[in-house]
Amino acid sequence: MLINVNGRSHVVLVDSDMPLLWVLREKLGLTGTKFGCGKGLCGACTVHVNNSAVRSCQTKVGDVSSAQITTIEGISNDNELHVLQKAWISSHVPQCGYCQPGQIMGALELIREKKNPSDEDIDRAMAGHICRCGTYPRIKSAIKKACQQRALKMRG
Amino acid sequence: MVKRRQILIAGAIVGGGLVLGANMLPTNRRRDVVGYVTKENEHLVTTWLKIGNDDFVTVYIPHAEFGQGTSTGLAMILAEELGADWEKIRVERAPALTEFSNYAFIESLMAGFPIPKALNQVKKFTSIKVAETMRLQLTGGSTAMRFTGHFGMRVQGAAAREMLKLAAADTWAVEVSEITVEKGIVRHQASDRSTGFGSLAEMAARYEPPLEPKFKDPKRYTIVGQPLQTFDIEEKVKGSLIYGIDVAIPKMKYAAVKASPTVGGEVLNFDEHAIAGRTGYIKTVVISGAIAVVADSWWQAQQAIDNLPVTFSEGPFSKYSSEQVINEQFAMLDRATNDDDDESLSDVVIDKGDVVALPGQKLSADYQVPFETHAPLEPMNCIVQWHKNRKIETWIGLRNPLATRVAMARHFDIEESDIIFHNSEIGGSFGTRSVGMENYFIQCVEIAQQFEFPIKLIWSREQDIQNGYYRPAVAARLTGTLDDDGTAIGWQSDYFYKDTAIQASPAEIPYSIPNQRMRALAHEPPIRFGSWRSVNHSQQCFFKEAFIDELAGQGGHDPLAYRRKLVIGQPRLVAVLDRLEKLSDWHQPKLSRQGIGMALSDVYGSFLALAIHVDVTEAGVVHVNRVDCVIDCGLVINPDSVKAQLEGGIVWGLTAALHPSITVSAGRVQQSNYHDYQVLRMHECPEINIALIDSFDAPGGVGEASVPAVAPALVNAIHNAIGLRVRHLPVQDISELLGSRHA
Repeated sequence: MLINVNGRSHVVLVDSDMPLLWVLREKLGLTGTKFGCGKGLCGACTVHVNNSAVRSCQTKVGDVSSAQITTIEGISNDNELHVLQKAWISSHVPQCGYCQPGQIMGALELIREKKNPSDEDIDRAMAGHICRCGTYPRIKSAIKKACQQRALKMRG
Repeated sequence: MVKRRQILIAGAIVGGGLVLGANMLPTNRRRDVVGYVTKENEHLVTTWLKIGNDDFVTVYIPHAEFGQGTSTGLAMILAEELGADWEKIRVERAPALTEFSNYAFIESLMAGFPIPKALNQVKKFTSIKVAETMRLQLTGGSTAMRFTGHFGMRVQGAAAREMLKLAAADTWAVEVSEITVEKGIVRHQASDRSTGFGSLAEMAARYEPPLEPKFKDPKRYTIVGQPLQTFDIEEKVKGSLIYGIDVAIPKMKYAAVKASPTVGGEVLNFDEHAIAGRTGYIKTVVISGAIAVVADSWWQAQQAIDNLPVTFSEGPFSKYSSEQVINEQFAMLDRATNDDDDESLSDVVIDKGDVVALPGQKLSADYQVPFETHAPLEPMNCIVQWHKNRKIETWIGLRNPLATRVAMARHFDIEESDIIFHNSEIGGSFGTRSVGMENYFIQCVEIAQQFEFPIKLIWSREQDIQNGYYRPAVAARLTGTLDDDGTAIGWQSDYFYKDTAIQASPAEIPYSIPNQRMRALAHEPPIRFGSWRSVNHSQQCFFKEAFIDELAGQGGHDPLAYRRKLVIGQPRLVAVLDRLEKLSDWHQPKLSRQGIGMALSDVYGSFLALAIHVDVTEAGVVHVNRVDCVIDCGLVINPDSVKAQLEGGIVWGLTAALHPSITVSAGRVQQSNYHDYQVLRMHECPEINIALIDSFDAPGGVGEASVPAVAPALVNAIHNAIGLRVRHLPVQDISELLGSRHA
């Protein structure tokens, strides 16, 4: 079947009930999307399907064959990191880093919906993303920083 | 003061350049180390640096990186002493190969140059054998910065600096004392001459490395103490860092396993026909204590094994449960209490004064903590290729690859040199991924032995939670004796288990209580045990810091002031208490059902005090609103890394203190995924404030430092809020206890 990932079409020979997560990781070599639990509980596998955050371990590839899929690899281009990624760096967020692609994809949906998310907005949006290293305070501050940077950019 | 002995080995490298290795005798004879360094002259080479003729400095870091910022911190120490340009520092992870840890590595760098005189010394140390003693690339016990950094990197950097100065002095025919080295430039001010490292490096290699180089004055540090960004941060936010689970080897196939749910069970029967027709299916393999399915993709393998009818034998431990563990321990505590002078029941670890005969008010409390697991977000995984000549080649992320090699060589009865490691990046360790916890590696080898292609084994989250090596569930009984003012004059602690390390027991208290007796009892239930972030400090600190609080409360004393009185004469502990008092607004009046509690901890060479602010609802739900933490960890290498580790340790400790942990019933771990093994999430994460005390003392550990203080501070806060003493974890829902209040 044909799937569209990060703006490119790929032919993948898989059963339609294979989770998108494993198609991305094993067939397309896009290993930025991670396996953490296989039950949609941890958020490490988060990608965007038509600009909505989904758990790719719970998404059958057959169900997204005509959708636009965006992974962590697709949110920056060669020249520039996404504003969230820059904020993640300047706030020194990652420790082991394994959960961070999923965190960023989750945060991306939030900041598309809200220009200036409050602490409660962030808690609600990010409650589904586990970090065992405990970087939550820095994730929260990075999300706010990203929104400030975005606002400055739009003004300038 | 900690003693150390050092050897520096230097040589020139092909194409020009200097290589310098520093090693040291480990002074912390931890259990893991004792097996590998037993002879008088044995040394461990821990760090290598290379200065190329392109001015770049490459640092080879022997420690595993799993989020602690170790590589960056170690490189900072070295760059500071060396006087390097931080922008010209490169870090490489030392491969866990014998070739790295013996002088063959130098040979490979020098490729044909004659071995410098300094290295001939190495050959003389027959008991050292640089090639063989570098068994240890251990990351753990919060030691990386303390030992490798403070002793290894610092000495290396300073020695290399002096050698560069000597080279410059000889080149320019000036006094070496007139040479300065700063930001990668070697300069002779008086004659206005300067050059980068590259042109001097090869010449520098000709000098004997000074064994006791002069260190830089910490007051003049420009790199150490800065909150520099870690090296691999960009890869982490781009998702391009390759973890063990991401590695792909040509021709590899995937395996999923289902292990016996009880320890010691084996596969009885299974029905391969039920799954043989599935897409991608290759084979079902029975291995020790488990069954495995190999398929073209991991999901196919896992789906197949989920649908494979299989039965396991019960094994010898199928009746065991968490309740049984604690009941057995309390029965042993009762015997030790009632037959107080029966020496066979326990080991007396501390015995000062005469606590049993001491008159005064006695207060006794029993505590218990449950099993805990690690559940890092990257589940256990590895790739193994079993070569025809009985060699194992593996791609795996480990904390201690060389010690694992020793253990696995023994297990599979092959030579150590026949196990080839390719180290992977790690998605969280927290005590796991270390020697003695290689069950997934053993499974993978047993599977790989049946095939010609490499096998990639990934544990499902369920297997990861149920096949782990757990932090032990233990009980303790503490008894205090108070004088008429409520001051503690006696302290007794009976606890599990026997400490085998020569270092101070984690049950020891920093308090100057004149009469003390601590007894360790041994109990070994048939549960797999392993190290968990802060190891036995995670249990002992809960017991002692909850209990000192109870002693304070008995006489109506403020818990912070009570502790301060008992640590007078230990200025570093007094200082963290004083700072916490301010940072936490300790004396601020609280509303009804709100409380503040604290704990004091001196672990890993650091001194820490932590306060937690809670509110407890009528229904008994505990909310953690704020955590304040003060640490004196000696010289701070990278303040941002320190804060990050303390924050992470606090979140880690809160997960364990608040949420239900691991329970065992009928020999089986009851939990399976993140829905029933709940971890702290964003919306439960409190405000966290960290303060670092300025110090030039030797660096203390921070990776585990904040974990032990969390649980006791939490129960102390609950008492402050509603007057209830909670003596076992978890505490998120104490509604049952509210129904039967005590104290």
